[in-house]
Amino acid sequence: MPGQSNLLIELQSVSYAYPGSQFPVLQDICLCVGRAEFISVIGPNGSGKSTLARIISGLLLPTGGRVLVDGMDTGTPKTRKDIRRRVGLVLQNPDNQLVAAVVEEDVAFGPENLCLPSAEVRRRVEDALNAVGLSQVRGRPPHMLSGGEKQRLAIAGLLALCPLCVVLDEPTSMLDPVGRQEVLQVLRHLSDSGTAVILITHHMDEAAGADRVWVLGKGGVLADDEPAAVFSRVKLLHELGLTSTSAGDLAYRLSERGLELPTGIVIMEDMIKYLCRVLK
Amino acid sequence: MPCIEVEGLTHVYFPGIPLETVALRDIELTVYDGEFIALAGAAGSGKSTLAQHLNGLLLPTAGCVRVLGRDITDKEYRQQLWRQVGLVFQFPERQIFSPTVFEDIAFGPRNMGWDSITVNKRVKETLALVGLPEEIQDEDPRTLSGGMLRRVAICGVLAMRPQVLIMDEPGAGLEPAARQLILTSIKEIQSQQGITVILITHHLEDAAVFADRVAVLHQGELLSVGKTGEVLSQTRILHKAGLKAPFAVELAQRLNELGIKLPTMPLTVEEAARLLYGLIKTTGAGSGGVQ
Ligand SMILES: Nc1ncnc2c1ncn2[C@@H]1O[C@H](COP(=O)(O)OP(=O)(O)OP(=O)(O)O)[C@@H](O)[C@H]1O
Ligand SMILES: Nc1ncnc2c1ncn2[C@@H]1O[C@H](COP(=O)(O)OP(=O)(O)OP(=O)(O)O)[C@@H](O)[C@H]1O
Ligand SMILES: [Mg+2]
Ligand SMILES: [Mg+2]
Repeated sequence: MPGQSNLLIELQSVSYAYPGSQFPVLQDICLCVGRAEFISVIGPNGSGKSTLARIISGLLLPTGGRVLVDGMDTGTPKTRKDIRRRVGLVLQNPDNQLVAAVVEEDVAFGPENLCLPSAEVRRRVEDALNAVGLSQVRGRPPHMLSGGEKQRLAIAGLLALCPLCVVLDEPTSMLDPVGRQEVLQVLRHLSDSGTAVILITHHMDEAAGADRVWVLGKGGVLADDEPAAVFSRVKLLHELGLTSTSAGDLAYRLSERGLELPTGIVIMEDMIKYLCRVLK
Repeated sequence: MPCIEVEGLTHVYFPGIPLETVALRDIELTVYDGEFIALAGAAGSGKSTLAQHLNGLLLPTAGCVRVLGRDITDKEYRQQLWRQVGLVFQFPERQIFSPTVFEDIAFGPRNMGWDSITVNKRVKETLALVGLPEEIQDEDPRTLSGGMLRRVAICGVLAMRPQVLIMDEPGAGLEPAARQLILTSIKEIQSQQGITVILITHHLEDAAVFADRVAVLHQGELLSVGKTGEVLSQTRILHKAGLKAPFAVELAQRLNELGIKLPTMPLTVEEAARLLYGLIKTTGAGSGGVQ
């Protein structure tokens, strides 16, 4: 029943093994995404984050279990087009996604494929380019952009589709801190206005800005919780080759020296509050 | 001894047509033998363009670049440059074509003319440096995850043992542990073998830990260059360049505004922990610091 419940995406005991490999990358995963929810996904290299992104957006079909998007099974061939419309994906390497010869055509590609009226396409392209700050280079060929500009372009292409859920695979890995912050604001705004956001990142301070964090590792989901809870589990994170946030890392290093800190200090503001209390 | 001398370097893409872009303007920069320098700047500030001049892939529109004492416009020299100057590209995935990881990493070392025993040895060594298991040698690069593939690409350059190593955002896409391991390995090679390292990054936390000096590019111009500690505490300049000071610097400045002064400016989280711990243990010593 599309559009009914607050639940947008549901992974029911999902497993996935790549063809020709007997070891599943993901095993028996159960996860939910609510409408307008902002989720970040962290995990070591090779833990299956990109694989999960492709499964959620219907590009890969699970080898076990099933994925429901807005009530529709991604495994049903009939629904493929409806799912594409609802879930948009930005790939890890933006080069694999840039299709047109000119920046603005690249952004228009998606909405044109949805057969929208041309005035609507133009409006969406305009909005998307503005949102990522690329209006000035709209006439350029995409391969003449710098690395970070290409990443923004891929995001603009996604925004123009106005999906119900956006999945972004390390969209900020090449962005400078200001660009990174801008993209996060765009994503936060999207989520506030009703779009679910799934953000894959290796940048813990960025992940902490989400409503919820999934930690992938050892073939499964090792944590699915609020940022303050996840980034307080420093031992688990270290075991996986991850870290806490900068503030969480500082809290950990202070507690290793024997100080007793309250739990849940994972952002700068919390750290400052704590320090003011003990130092003033 | 200067290792790289950049004098009045200007680079213009597509001069004279509407797509014309001035990517670098009148850059003056000397990189010294054996130093670890970080090159930072916002997206589009010209970092990759500068990097590609240092190994002769791009030629100056104006000005001059000398690497190890010789001008890169010398055609004969430019053809030899890859033997001394290794460049890890911003999107190294593009450079990967071989059917196995081993073949891919061995490509450069073979071109150096080394025998197969040496080549095998280099491949093994560098896999360990980037934290990849030996078994990965036989795998097809196309079945690796993004971060694993990046590490393979970094191996391909390290295995040639370049005298000058330039890395364009090598940490992008890497899990925190791998990023730490790789930069630590490279720092060790730099201090033990005296190679010169140029680290291009947006991530000033990495510069804080590993670099001796930091250069900041802004819209194609060199905005600032100096000792890591000096450059990273100039938050106003960093903000102008679209960058953010490391967490520790920002925290120290916020605390300072609130009347809590640290005795010195911490650059890394570990330094911040050390200083704050000292302060907390002797509470009341929160004044009279240098800042
Ligand atoms: N096309 C493929 N064929 C076979 N195996 C694959 C393929 N793509 C990925 N894998 C394997 O699946 C596992 C998970 O890969 P995935 O790309 O999902 O990891 P990731 O969490 O996104 O890692 P990273 O942080 O490095 O991007 C890895 O072991 C990888 O080698
Ligand atoms: N091949 C090219 N043709 C034309 N213009 C280019 C080309 N490559 C880069 N540019 C432009 O030159 C400027 C500098 O780009 P460069 O790639 O050197 O920046 P960068 O500092 O490496 O950025 P990023 O951090 O995003 O990788 C940008 O305005 C960019 O759009
Ligand atoms: Mg990935
Ligand atoms: Mg670049």
